[in-house]
Amino acid sequence: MKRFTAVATALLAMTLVACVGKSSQSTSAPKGCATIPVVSSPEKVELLTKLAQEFNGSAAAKNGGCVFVQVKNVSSGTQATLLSQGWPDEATNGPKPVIFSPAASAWGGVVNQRLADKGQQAVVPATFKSFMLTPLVIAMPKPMADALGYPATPIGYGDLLKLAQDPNGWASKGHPEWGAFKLGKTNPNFSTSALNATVAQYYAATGKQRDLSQEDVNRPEVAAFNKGVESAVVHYGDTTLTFLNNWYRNDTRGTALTYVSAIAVEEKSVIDYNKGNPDGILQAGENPRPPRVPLVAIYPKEGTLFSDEPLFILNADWVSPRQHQGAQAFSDFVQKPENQRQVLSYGFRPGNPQVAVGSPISKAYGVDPGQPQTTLTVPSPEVLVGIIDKWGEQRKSAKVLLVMDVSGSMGDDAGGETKLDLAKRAAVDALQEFKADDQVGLRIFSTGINPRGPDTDELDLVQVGPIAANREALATRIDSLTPTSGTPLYTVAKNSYAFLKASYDPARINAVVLLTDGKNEDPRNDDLNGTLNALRSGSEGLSTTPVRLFTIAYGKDADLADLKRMAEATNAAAYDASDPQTINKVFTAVVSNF
Amino acid sequence: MRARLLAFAVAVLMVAAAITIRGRMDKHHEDSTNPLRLVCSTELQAACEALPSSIQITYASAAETANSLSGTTPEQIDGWLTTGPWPEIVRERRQRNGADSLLTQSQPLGRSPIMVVAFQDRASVIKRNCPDISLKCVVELAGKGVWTAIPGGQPSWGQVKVSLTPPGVETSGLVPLAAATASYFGHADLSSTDLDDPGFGGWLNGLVGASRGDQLGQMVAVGPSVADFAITLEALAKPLVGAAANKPLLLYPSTVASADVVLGTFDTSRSRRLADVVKSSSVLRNAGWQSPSSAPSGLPPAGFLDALRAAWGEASR
Repeated sequence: MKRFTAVATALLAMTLVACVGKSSQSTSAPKGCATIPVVSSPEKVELLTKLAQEFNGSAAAKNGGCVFVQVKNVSSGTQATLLSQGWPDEATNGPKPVIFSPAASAWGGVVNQRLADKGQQAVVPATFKSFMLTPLVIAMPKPMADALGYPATPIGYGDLLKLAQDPNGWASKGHPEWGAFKLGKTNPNFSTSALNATVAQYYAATGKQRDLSQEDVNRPEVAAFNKGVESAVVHYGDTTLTFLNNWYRNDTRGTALTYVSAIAVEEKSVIDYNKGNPDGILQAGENPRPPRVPLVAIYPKEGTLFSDEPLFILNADWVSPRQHQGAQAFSDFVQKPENQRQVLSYGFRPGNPQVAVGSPISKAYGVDPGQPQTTLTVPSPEVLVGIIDKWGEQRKSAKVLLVMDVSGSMGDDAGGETKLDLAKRAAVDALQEFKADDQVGLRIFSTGINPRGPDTDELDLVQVGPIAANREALATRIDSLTPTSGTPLYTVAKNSYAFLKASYDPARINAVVLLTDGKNEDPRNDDLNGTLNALRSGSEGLSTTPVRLFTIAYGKDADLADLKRMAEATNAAAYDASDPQTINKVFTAVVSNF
Repeated sequence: MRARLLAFAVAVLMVAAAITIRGRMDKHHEDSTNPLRLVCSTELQAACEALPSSIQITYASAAETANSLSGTTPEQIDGWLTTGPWPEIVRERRQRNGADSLLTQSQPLGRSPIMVVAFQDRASVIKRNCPDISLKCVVELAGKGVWTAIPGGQPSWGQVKVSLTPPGVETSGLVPLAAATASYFGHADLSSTDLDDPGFGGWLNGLVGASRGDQLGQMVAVGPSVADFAITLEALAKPLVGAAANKPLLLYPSTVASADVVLGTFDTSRSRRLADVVKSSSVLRNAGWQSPSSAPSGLPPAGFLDALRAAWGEASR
């Protein structure tokens, strides 16, 4: 018995050492500790990871058995999609979460509704505590907000719609130099600010502040209101950071007032931007410089919604009682006033009312702690899902030229398949994301690919046309692609951009999506600056035919830096698919711009 | 005779011993695999969480539990901690259906007055327009729709937004509505025919239109953009407001009406044991409920409250 006691004591001691001995910086759970996987939306992942490390090293994590919190960055929309699919493919998507933390609790309703639609049980609980709060606002350069009389004159979505539909644009407010009113808005399938903005638009269209119903969503005049607002959108996307980074870069060049007029973002993003840190992430050695033209947060007069940053402890069959208890301990830990005070430094309002709202939530950073005056009620899950579905029909249509590299290196192995095989599959899958009214064409490129002339490096396999008619042809042609020769990147980027600009459609988002796995390998044109100048001159200032060039750097040999510069020259974004296995996700993110 | 007495004494002892052993066995069984089961109304969660861990607690809205207990196959539970008069409502419903009364409502175990929570600026306007914080008057303000229609109200405050838990679901909504209704009629001795009063429907509709549901926690966390004021129970508001950095004011109506916490029990030994545990604990006081009082609660009778719930449901459609 004594021997048994000694062995048991030794085992217990070893377990304790394993739990305590490992540094709180450790990324894997010490032996004997139950892991609590947390999926967090990007805006809070840094703070939540820091708090998780502190929690893992605290006594609270040892109470009732050792637990270890692990935080993974996953966008809110992706979290919701994966959860409603039962969180498949843990090898790719990470372990099934115990804590689901999107940016807004509305996503919990979306998950439960999607599960209910499939006859499955809800996994997201009705009760939760907010980690922190930030309201959705309309960010606008201060001179533009001044021109609209804000804050003395309250502004809402209705006012923006009027401005967007006014053929004189900003000239009607005495500023013809700012051109048309242009709105930046993300895609509500991915982005919480877009979901909240779309819900707020519906409320504004109905004049309601609560109880938005499916009947409201289906009303023709509501659809007309939303289509009017969406018509002012420059492009969509999966994250507001694309807009904020582009805006900041334009500010540096003195063109901030002609890039976009307003963006639907969270209040914290206005603070970050005005601090000179548009993406909210300070790299080591980065010295933030406040913008020349600061932004002002407009709190829509019809009301707004808060991103309430919930920590949902899932009621899923994969969550053990010990994990549930550990998750509750972590949830309590982040609510402690000393931890809640930290959220302020990230530009959020504390979730725990015991901690007062303070700096930087202040007018010095373009925001107003006394606002908003009206908080809108989150619609029921059925209505939320209905709104997301309707947005797919009401969003601004797109005209897109897919430009794919079929140079020899695309035939390289990428884990059993060639890079081209993976890219083809991703491109075909992405075609499903376009709506019937979108126009899509396919161009491929490689040195001397066009049999009609040795100097022509691109070949249009499917002319730009309605996807409803083109979908089959696009899929077939993409499927039959084979690798050929070199990579004339600069020429193809410039030509494709010019091609779409020449046939610009003002009612659509006009864009080129260019995928390449290499560097420019064309001795006939190695002039990057010339290429950038050509792209930029067609995009800057009051260009009436703005075309966006979205680039995908595919595989480790792709020149991401060049592609980023080319995309930014057109106020678009570059996407990194240096790991070929991520191409599906990346293609989905790129297509979220439309 | 002596032998017979001895035999009788032995028999009595054996029976007593058997009862004791059985009781202990039952108790052991109760503690481990068959714990006492309590259904706790959601608004009493803070108190119920502090009860001994040997009690298995389920949280459910009062309306949900009432519906279950009113049916033909009620949920198998040992007690229901809720706010009055829900057990009375269940008794009346069962009687109407010709069923047995099933459960008994205990004497009040705790009490909480009904009051109004508002941030300073809105509180000033409420006090200016309703000096005695009469709930009839406060609901009339809600019925104005927009703050510009109320003397002292600011245009930027927009629509009047009231936090009121859905009265059809929770006592924390039904009791304030009942108190406001008693205030409207000027007395609590009401019957369902009073609901036909010609002015009452419009007054009720005004509150329905302004109500944003239970937003007290969000209101305290976020501010008046969520709700301009709340009509609620002191026991629910005080812990939230007391801890808040930006404290709203607690406004008490001059005519007091209160919610009483009661325990609905059944005629079983398990239910009696549960009642002993609950009554002897101080969880209610610790959770902000006042000591029980023999003074009238100021609320209309249970039958009227059930009819009032239905009237709210009608007006909300």
